[in-house]
Amino acid sequence: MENTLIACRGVTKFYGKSNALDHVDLEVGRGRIVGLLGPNGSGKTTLIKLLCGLLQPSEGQLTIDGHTPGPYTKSVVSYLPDRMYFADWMKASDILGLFADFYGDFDRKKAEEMCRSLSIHPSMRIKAMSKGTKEKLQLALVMSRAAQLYLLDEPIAGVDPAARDFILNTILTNYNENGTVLISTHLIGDIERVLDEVIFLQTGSVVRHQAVDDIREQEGKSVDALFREIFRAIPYGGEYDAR
Amino acid sequence: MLGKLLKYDFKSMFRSFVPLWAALLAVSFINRFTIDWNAADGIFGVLAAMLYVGLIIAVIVVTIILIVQRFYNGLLRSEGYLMFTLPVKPWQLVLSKLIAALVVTICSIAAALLSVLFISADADFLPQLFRALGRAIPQLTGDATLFLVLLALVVLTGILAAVTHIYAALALGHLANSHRIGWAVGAYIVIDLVFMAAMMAGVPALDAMDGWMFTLSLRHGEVYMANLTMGIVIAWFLAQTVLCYVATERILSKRLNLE
Repeated sequence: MENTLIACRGVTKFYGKSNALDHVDLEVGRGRIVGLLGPNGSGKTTLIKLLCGLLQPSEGQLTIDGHTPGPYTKSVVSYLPDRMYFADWMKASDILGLFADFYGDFDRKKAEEMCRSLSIHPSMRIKAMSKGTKEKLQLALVMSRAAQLYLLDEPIAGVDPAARDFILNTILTNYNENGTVLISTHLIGDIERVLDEVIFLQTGSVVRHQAVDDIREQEGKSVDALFREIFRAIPYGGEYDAR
Repeated sequence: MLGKLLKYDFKSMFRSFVPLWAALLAVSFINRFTIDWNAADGIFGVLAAMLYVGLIIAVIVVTIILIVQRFYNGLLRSEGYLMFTLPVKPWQLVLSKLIAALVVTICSIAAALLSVLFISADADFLPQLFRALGRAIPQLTGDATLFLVLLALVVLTGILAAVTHIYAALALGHLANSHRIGWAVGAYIVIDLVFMAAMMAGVPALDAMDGWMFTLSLRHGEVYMANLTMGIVIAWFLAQTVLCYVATERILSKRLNLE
């Protein structure tokens, strides 16, 4: 098995006249937990959708495990979008059945156990679940797959701090250790402690791609502080001095 | 994989449709006992008939709406994030929806026919109709079995053409950045016009063949001519189906852009 899992060469995506991604060259190895960091509109979701096969690049090419996005890559990529993607009428057991039907790497027992610990009964309808429960169900299903690549799009946005800890711990204790986890987020403070390396995206280009340890050594600051420095914007009326 | 997709599409369709069909059959069954069709006349009779026709129309309309909804919500909204990240190809996703839509439409038609049967079981109308058919069919010269088979195929391909027409319109609407439903409606009308124009273009050709057709009909009889016409209609419906299906599949494969 080759060591490079994700390879992007000159990947560009236009939406009309604007460039969501601009000639991105990227390589990500296996067994890493990678943070895809950048402000809103930097192209994180676009890159993730390209990796999932939900979008086609306007230019360039990208491969996962040496294959362009298609049924094979979809069978080895486990994707958690930033929204609910289940039909309302389905029960938890229907969805577990769906994952078991389509994904060979799905561990149904594990998913069922995770549901039990979340107090989700197999006969509960999605419609009847709270937003937080639905999100946790989705996470449980995604992490119960022994995938080569986990793509998590903003998994902790809009979630309370306790739930954030829960989600991060779930990710850390359940992913396939030969696989890579790519987490896109702008909430760096919470997630920094779990990351091996980070990719900074700014207006569609990769401005940094480094191991977290290297950053702390070279820059002498946390990733969170570096992020604020790189993406600093002066607000109207000048800086607010919080002293 | 297609089989698995069909399982979920059937599950989804049937849970909306089965209550509908059950309601239709229940209403017609009840009406059979509460309305004496032979004595029904005047305002009451007319009202009962109108109510009943209204019910049939409702089934047709709801069938169309649910078919549109299943495709749009299932592939082009949030559920699309799940469907298009399953390890299947887009043509399988579309075909699965198409087959489920076909089956459900046939069942709706069957339910409508059954309910007419229930309702008119007491009346003289149906027995008379069957007696007339019983006399007429043996009198048909030529291949009557082929006639019935072709008739069934006309209905089937007609449904396929209608459904793929809707799917293509929704897929074309998806290409827009906003007001996708509006664009889909526009696309539906345009596709309709294009197919009609194509049909019109065929009319001069048919005119030219008039003499030849007349000779054929003299030689082979009316059933043969009916079969030939149906064959042409089936080919036309199939052509529409293939065009619309391919357009839908290409758009979803190459230009997918879920919100």
